[in-house]
Amino acid sequence: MNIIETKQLVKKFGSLAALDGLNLTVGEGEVHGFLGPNGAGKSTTIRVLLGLLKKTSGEATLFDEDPWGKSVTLHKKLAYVPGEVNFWPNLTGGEIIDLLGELRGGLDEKRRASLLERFDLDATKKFRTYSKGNRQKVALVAALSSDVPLYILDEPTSGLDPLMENVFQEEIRDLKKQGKTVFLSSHILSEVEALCDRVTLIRLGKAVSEYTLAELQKDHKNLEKLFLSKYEEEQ
Amino acid sequence: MFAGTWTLIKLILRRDRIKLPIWILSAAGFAVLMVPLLVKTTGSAASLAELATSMQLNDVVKLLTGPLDQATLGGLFLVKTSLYTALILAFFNTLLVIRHTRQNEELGAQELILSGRASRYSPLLAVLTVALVSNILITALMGLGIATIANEWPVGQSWLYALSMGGLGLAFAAIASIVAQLTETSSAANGILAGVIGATFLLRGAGDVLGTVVAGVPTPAFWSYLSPFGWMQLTHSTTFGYWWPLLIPLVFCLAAVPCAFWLLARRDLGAGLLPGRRGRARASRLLRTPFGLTWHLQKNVFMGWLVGNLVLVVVIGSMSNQMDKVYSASSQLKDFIISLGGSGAIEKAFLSAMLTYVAALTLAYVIQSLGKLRSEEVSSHLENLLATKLSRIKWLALHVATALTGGAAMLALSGAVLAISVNVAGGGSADIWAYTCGALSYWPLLLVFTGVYVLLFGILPMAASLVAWLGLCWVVFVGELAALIGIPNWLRDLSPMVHIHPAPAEAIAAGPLIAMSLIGLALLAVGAISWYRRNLAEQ
Repeated sequence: MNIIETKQLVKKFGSLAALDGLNLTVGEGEVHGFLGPNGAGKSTTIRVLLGLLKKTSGEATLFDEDPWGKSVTLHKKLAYVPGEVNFWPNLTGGEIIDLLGELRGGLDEKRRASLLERFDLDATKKFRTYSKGNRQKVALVAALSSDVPLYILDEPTSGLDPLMENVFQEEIRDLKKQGKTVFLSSHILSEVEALCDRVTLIRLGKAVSEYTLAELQKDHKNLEKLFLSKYEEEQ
Repeated sequence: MFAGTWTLIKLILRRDRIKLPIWILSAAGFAVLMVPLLVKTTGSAASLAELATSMQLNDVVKLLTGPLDQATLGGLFLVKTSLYTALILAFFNTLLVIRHTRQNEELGAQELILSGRASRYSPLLAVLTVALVSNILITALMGLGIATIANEWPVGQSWLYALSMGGLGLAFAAIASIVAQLTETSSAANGILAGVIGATFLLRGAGDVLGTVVAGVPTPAFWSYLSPFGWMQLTHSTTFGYWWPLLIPLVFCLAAVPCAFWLLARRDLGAGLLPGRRGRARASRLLRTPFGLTWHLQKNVFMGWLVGNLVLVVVIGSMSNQMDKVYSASSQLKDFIISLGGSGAIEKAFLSAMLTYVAALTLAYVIQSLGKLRSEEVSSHLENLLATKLSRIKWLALHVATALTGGAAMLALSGAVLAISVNVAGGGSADIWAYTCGALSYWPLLLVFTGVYVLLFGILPMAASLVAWLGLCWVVFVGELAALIGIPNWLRDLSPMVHIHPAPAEAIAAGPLIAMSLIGLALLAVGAISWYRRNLAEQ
């Protein structure tokens, strides 16, 4: 069973097609990288998969089910970290983590405590006082302390310092060992290279190519070279 | 289908742990506290009857407070409190619903919540549940309070009064739940809802003014049946006491709430059903200047209140014709007018009194416009601006000048349009210049409030908006009810508005206006210096 599958997925906003026939498969236990230039449709794809946006046509399934119709049942099996984390300024980080945990069907208290320590996050501060990186840590701690089969991460580390980036990578490897599936959209190519088994590159709402890391290492020197060649030649 | 609702209810209660109790207590408390005030000040049955005669004949009273059912304390209570209590409930419910639906989506928090085990219907159900419980609490507190304090009407009628308010609150929560689906931003949704509240208030005003008395009961024209305020009035709670109209808001909610869910099921997260428009690729020449940016931020607030003001003056102006007809149809009324000094004079006095409403609305505009100072500061927009060559004082001066110029323009336009609509639609003759000047004579009031606001913005920014809005409430309260309740003179004189002579019925008195302007400017200067010296708010 593929955990995530889309076939000819189209999402239009008025006349603008943000997704224009996207094909994507993510298998069980896989850490899958999702790459593309700004505005290529990465976040739109994720929002369709979360049932936040209604697809215009084509197929999109999560655990073989329709994410729009079955959103609540499906959301029990996943944790999500958005690219921009915004919350009410007068709640503390700890309160937000607990709230999100409750909405995901419970937190692993031990994991919560250890993640707070590893990410060096003070849970007693009000959300408005956090920096960009710390806001992202709130969402990361909330997501990683729930025990679910699928993690959907939309540029989760864009505000983290290198130390915290390291912690993040260790946590993802740990999830992989446990057989969890991770769908990672990111612009940090070294991170994708270090973590992912397969990557999908998209452009203008379509998948332009899909590689396993082995293929990638055989044909191209590194991911950055591939990324630049892919998008420069098409410009 | 409604997974996660309970968690979201707890979240709302946590977020609004201070706001909710304040709203609930003030909504219930206002009506309850008015009972002893009215009892204390109305005095003898004779003075009540006298008051009743003047009120029953007055269309302005009908428009703004509803008709007086009978010359009893219950009748007076209804006229003096019901629409104010209703307005508090209307704003409480609409702001509550928008804050926990559209505003969450705009903020981006809803995205993360809905990625959890919460259905897309749950946030709306959660806030409607909180609204329902809050309205029940308000009803219970109000009913209990009034029933305990008031001996002048049956206990059941006290409860009927409270229930009619609860019903009205729920109706507005239902309306807000539909509007929340229509727009992309919460400010647009709140703007539409303020318009709906104003329009439905005026609809029932028209219904009351054009209504008739059937078998001793004031019966509104059909316009009132289109308005939740009208439904509330149909109960005639503390006078005749009709229970059946309580069903109208309930039926309305049962129809409207499913509509909101139906719309919700058909849209994407973050999107409205009314499409967001595309904008320009380049900043216009105006927008590239600091003034242009200030105007860009301020213009929607200005336009909104200007439209509100113009609707008010056009309605009032064109109604002066209607009033004339009403007056001439009744010999009793005619005597009343003649006793006051002839039709020309009463028209002028009436229209001058209406300018105080224009002034109050314009003051509300100025306060909301100055609210941008604080919202720009805490949202960190200001940080970005002040990191450029724009200075603090210039930034402050631009916003203050925009608010004050906007206020002057709004006063002048409203005064002129009032006179024009009297001339065109009202069949009267009013001097446009005199009404323009009359309206502008309230400008120093705006200046005093601006001074107070900026002073607080400099020394105690958290309190600035709250104090200003309370001040506005005080001004309106004194204007409307002070004479009736008989508050001490020194308390009454605290309202700057009472020092402005109602022009053009009376001559403009320059002294108080100059004094108020000087006070305003002094406060403004001190406020600007404190702002220059204080820290920017921590993010």
